[in-house]
Amino acid sequence: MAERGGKGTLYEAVETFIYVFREGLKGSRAYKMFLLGLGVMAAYGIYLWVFVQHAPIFLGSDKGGLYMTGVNEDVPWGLYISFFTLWVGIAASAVIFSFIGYVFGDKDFKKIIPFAEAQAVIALIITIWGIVANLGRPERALVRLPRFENLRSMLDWDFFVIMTYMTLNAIMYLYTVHRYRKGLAIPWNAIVVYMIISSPFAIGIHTVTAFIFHALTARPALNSALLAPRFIATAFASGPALLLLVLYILEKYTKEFTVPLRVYRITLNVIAISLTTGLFFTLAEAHEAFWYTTEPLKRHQLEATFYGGVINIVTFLMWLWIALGTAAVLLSMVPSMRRSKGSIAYIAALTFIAVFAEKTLATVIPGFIINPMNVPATYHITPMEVFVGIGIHATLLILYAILVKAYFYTLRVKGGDVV
Amino acid sequence: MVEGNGKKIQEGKVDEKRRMAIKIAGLAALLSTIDFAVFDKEEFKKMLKKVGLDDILNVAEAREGLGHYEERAKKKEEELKNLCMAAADKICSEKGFASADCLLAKKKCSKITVKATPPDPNKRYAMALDLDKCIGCRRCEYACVMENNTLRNAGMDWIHIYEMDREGLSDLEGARDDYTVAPKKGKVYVPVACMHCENPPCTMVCPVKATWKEKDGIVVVDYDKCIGCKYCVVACPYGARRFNLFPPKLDPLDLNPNMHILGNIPRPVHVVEKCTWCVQRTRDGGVPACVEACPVGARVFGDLKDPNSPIRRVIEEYGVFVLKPEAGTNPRFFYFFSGAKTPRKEGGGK
Repeated sequence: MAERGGKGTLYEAVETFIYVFREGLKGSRAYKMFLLGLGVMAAYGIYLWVFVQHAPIFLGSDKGGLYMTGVNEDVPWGLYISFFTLWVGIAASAVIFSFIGYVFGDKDFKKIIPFAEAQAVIALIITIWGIVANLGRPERALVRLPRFENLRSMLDWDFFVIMTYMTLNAIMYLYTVHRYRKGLAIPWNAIVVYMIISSPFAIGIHTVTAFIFHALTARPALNSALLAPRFIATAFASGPALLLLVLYILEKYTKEFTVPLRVYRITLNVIAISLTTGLFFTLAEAHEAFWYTTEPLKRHQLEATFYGGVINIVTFLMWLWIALGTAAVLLSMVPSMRRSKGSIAYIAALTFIAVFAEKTLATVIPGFIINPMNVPATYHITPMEVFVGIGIHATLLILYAILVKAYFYTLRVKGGDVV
Repeated sequence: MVEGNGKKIQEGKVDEKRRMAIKIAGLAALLSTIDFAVFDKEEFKKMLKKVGLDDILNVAEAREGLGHYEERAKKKEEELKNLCMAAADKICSEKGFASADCLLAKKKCSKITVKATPPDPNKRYAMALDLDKCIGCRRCEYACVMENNTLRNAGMDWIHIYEMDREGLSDLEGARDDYTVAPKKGKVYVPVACMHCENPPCTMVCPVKATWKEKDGIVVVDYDKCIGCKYCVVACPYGARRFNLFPPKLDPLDLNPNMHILGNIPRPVHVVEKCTWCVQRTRDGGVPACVEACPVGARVFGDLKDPNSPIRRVIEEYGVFVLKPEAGTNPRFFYFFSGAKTPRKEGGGK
């Protein structure tokens, strides 16, 4: 509710929206150069996507096409879809912070929830963009996906939950900034409504994404009911890890902002537990495939994933995940590592790299590494995919920087009293 | 109570005003929704034509009824004829209007037809393949590419032939599709294309219903509806679907003039395509091109509901099996061993 005698709710909402971008773009010279650098990368990536890779669609030219990416007959989903699986998990983790902050009423966590919400919003935009960059005909999808024509297809459901969760978090972020800007606390009923709707959706976005993959008998390496729990486990490790890194960087480069060590420690506990669960699930899947299964294709696909020889980058990423994940879990148990923010941020970085390795190609490609007719596939990451990927990430990093900056400014001006 | 413009405003009054504004806004939104729903669609389309959105909307409105398909087929036919005529005119202006090349090109163009033949619900097509006979010559692949106007520059074909050991047939052990010499002794050649399953996972996963199973058992793709998400490619247990990665470069004079709107019309870029059992031939009572082209007569095609069809004879006489029965898709493409091997002699085929 706006203050009485104000100019109207809608007007104020628009005002807050403008406020976010105005304050988000203000900053030191270094910050502006940082944004500009990202802007150049973003522009190049988008240029490559629109004018080169998808030129036959957007420009109607007879050059370009998805053959410029690494996808082929046997590997229809490549790097773009692996961004989708990675970032959808990072988005899901916003719910952890809102749970500790809003439901358990932790004041320190309540302060950083909008960072998590902003992270969820940008993560979901990357997610959708990842799918769209891999789509052959984005202009048709624009018209037809919102119609939900085939509700037996998990892709429709995924589109629905991702859109809903993104909108919800965007609204909540803006609302929080709006309230704090006015020096007001968030009303209890708004929190209740947000938590009740967003918690199932947070789990839902990742579960439904896993359902897209796991219901396919054609791809036995992915056809496992453990896929959705595995996704959630590593999601709850990577999202908080990324947020910790962001908080650490903020603390280091701006003097006015401090996050207590206990926030780092509690988050580290969440990360360690989730990572352990994720590693355990990987072990469980590997055990099933190498110990018992008599399904030849499943065995071949997992052998190719773990032993290498077919698409070696997948093998490398798989072992990187196991090595770094284990290292992060072990380090998080060392008491001296838990004493300083720097070392906790180091563990968070290890975690993020580990989950990045697991959630990208090492999740998607094992289903394609041996094709359904038992012939080894080939997949090479092309510069096109890499640069378009960088462009997508740079674009959203700009948005993330703006959202973080705007909320940070609000906090600093109000001193965090209203929280 | 708040001071405003020097006079006191009652709290309730301000609220009333806002409530009124919200009410009006809600009413306006409702009215515009209703307005949109009862809007004259033709008028709407005309409005949109200026912005050039009509193509997208046409796509979205696709598959409303059968008439729609015939309309689209007619449109497509005209388009292709014009394209072909332009190519023919080029030849004519180069070599003279009375030259044989010119006349041949024009004759080819006039033969182009795009059909939208509906399925016959009293038929249920199926195909069987004799693995004892197949020599892995890939002539069916060639015939398929020629018949179905497949891209020549993309290295794409709808049929893949896998060479494997006889004992590897059950688990596809040692399958490979890049062999260069065939037939070899002790090997069996397994051509794989769309199996037209009774329970197809590819149609289930399509988010926009751009692919479906027709009443005569043929699984088709609507190329104007496909959004190119490749989910069906991922879902197919036989790897039978292909994604068109290249912008089409087809000489209009090389086209097979006998076309079907859901079959072998030249596909646009970035859509999924696959074997349709030559829907342009089979719906007119013919057999697919691969069956016709097979030099050893390994392929059998027919109607499962017709007791006198060749496919029924094969099933009754030899018994058939399917690839990957564990996928549970119930394919309508059968394999069988007739016992009469080609080459017949030991060590033959050199």
